[in-house]
Amino acid sequence: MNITSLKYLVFSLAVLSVYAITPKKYKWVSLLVSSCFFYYSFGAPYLLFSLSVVTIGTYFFGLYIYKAVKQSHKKVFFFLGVLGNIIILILLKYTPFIDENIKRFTEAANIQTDFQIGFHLVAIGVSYFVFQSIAYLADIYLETLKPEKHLGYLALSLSFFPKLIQGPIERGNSILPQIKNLDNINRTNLAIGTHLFFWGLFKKVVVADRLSAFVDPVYSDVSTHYGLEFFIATYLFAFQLYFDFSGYTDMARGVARCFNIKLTENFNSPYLATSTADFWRRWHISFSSWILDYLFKPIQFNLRYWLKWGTPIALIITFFVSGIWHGAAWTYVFWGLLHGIFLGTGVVFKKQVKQIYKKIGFKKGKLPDFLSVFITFHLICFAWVFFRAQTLMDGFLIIKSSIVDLPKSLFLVGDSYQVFLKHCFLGKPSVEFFSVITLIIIASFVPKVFQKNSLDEAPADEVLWFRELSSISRGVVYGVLLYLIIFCGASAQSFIYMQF
Amino acid sequence: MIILEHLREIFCEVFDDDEIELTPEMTANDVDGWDSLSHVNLIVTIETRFKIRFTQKELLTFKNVGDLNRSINDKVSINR
Repeated sequence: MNITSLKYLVFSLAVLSVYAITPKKYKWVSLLVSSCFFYYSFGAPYLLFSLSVVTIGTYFFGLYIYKAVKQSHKKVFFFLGVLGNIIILILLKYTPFIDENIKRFTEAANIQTDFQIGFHLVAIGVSYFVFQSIAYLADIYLETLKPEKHLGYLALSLSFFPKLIQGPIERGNSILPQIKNLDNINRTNLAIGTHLFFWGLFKKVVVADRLSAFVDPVYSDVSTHYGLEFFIATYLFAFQLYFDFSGYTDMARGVARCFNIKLTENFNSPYLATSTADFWRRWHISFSSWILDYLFKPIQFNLRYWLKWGTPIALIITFFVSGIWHGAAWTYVFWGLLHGIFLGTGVVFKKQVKQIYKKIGFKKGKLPDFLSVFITFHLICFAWVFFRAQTLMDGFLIIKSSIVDLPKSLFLVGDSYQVFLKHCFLGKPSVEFFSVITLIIIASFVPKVFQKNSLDEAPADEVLWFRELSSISRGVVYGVLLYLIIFCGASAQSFIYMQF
Repeated sequence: MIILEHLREIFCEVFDDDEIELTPEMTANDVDGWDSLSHVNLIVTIETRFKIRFTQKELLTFKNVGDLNRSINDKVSINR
C-alpha cells in the first residue's frame, strides 16, 4: 500500500473511525490489528512473521536482561537479543548483496563454487523495527528503561503503521508511555495531524517527485551528460531527497498525531548546517541519534586510550555501518565512509584549523556562518553523488566530469550560450525548471515566514504555522495545496528511504 | 569536596577555561566546547589523575556532573 495513494488515505480514515468507537481499554488492539493488516498488504507474509519473531524475542530478552541478577548474565542476554535481531536483518536484507560479492570474489580468485545463500527477500521496514528493538534492549541493559510487561503494547510500539516502513526510529521511553495511555481522538491533534499529513504529501508528490524528473535522466545515463549538468542534478537531488524523506516523515507524524501519538521529528533545516557534524544533528535525527548512542559512543569509549585516533576511527566505523544500513550496495558504503572521513578529519585537524582561522582573523577561530553553510552543503552534495549514483564507477565519473568538463559546459571553452542554458535547465523547458525552483523556495521558506511562534517548542519544520492563519487563509492554503497535489503532483513514486 | 575541587581543575584544563564552576546538574550543554571529542579527553584525564577506570555502562549512562562525581567518589573510596 503506497503511502501517497488514495488507498492509504482511505485505510487511515477507516482505522481512525474504528479507533474512535473502540473503548479506551481496547484501542491498542484496534491499532495493532490495523498495523498487522497494513504490513500484510505488502504481499510478503514473511515480513509479518519476521516482525512477530522480533517482537516476541525482544520482549523476552528485555525481561531476561532486567531480571538477571549478575551483570555478566545481563550482558549475555543483551548480546543474544541484539544478535538475534541482526541475524534477522541480514537474512532479510543483505542476502542478495552477500551472494553478489561471493560471486564476484570467487570469479576474481578463479575459485569454482556454486555456493549461494539463494533466497532473496523484500525487507520493507525491517531495518527500522530491528533498530528500534536494539535500542529497546540497550536501554534496558543500561537501566534507562524498564521492560514493557504487556506484550501487546511492545508489539504496537514496534509495528505502529504510520512509522512501520520508514521510521522515525522511536525510543521506548518516548513511544511506550504514549501507547499505554491511548486516549479518545481530540480536535487539536486531529487538526495538527491533518496539516502535517497534507503538507508532507505536498512536499512528496509535488516537490520531490517533480525534482526526480530532472535528476533521474542525468543519473541513469551518466555517459551522455557532463560538467555543469552534474552540479545542477546533484543540487536538485539534495532537495529531492530532503523533500521526499521529510515529506514522508510529516505524513507519518500527521497520521500518528491523529491517534494522539507524537513521533520524533526527523529534520531540522539540515542544509543550514555549519559543519558535517551539525548536519548529522539535523538530518534523519532519529537515526543519527541512534548511531551516536548505540554505536559511536560505545566504540569511542572502548578506543579512548588510542590517543587522538580513537574518535576518528570510531567515526569511520560508525558511518561505515550507517552506509551499509542505508543499502546493500557499495555506493552506500562509500557514501557512509565519506561522512566518516569528513567527521574524522575534522576531529584530527581541529586544533590546526582553529589556529589557521585565528591567523586569518575570523572571530573566535570560526568561519562566518554563511561560508560554513556553503562549504558544508557542498561536502554533503559531494557525498550525495555516491548515494544517488547507480554504481561506484558512475559516482567517480560524475565527480571527474564535474571538475574536468566544467569550463567547457560554462561556455567558456567550446560550447555555445544555448548549450549552456540547456545544461542549466537539464534539457527541460525553462518554465518547468523555474517552477521547481519556486516550489523548493515555497516548501522551504513558507513555514518559516508564517510561523510566528511555536506552541510547544516544535522544530522549524512543524506545520503549526497552519494554525496561526485565519480560517479563510487556511481554507485558501488547503485549496492551493490540494489543487497542486491533485493536478500538479507527478505520478507518485515510492519513497527513497522505503528501500532502506 | 576535595574530589569536586580536583574535578573542577580537570574541567578547567580540558576545556581551557579557568572560570568553570561545577554544579551537580551541569551537563554538556552548559559548558562551551564539551563535545564528544573533549568528553573522551575529560574521561581519560579523570581516569588517569584519579587512577580509576569507568565501565562502559557507566560511561554510557552519566547524565551530568553529579553522576560523574558520585562515580569517582565510589571508586576512589574503594581504592583507599
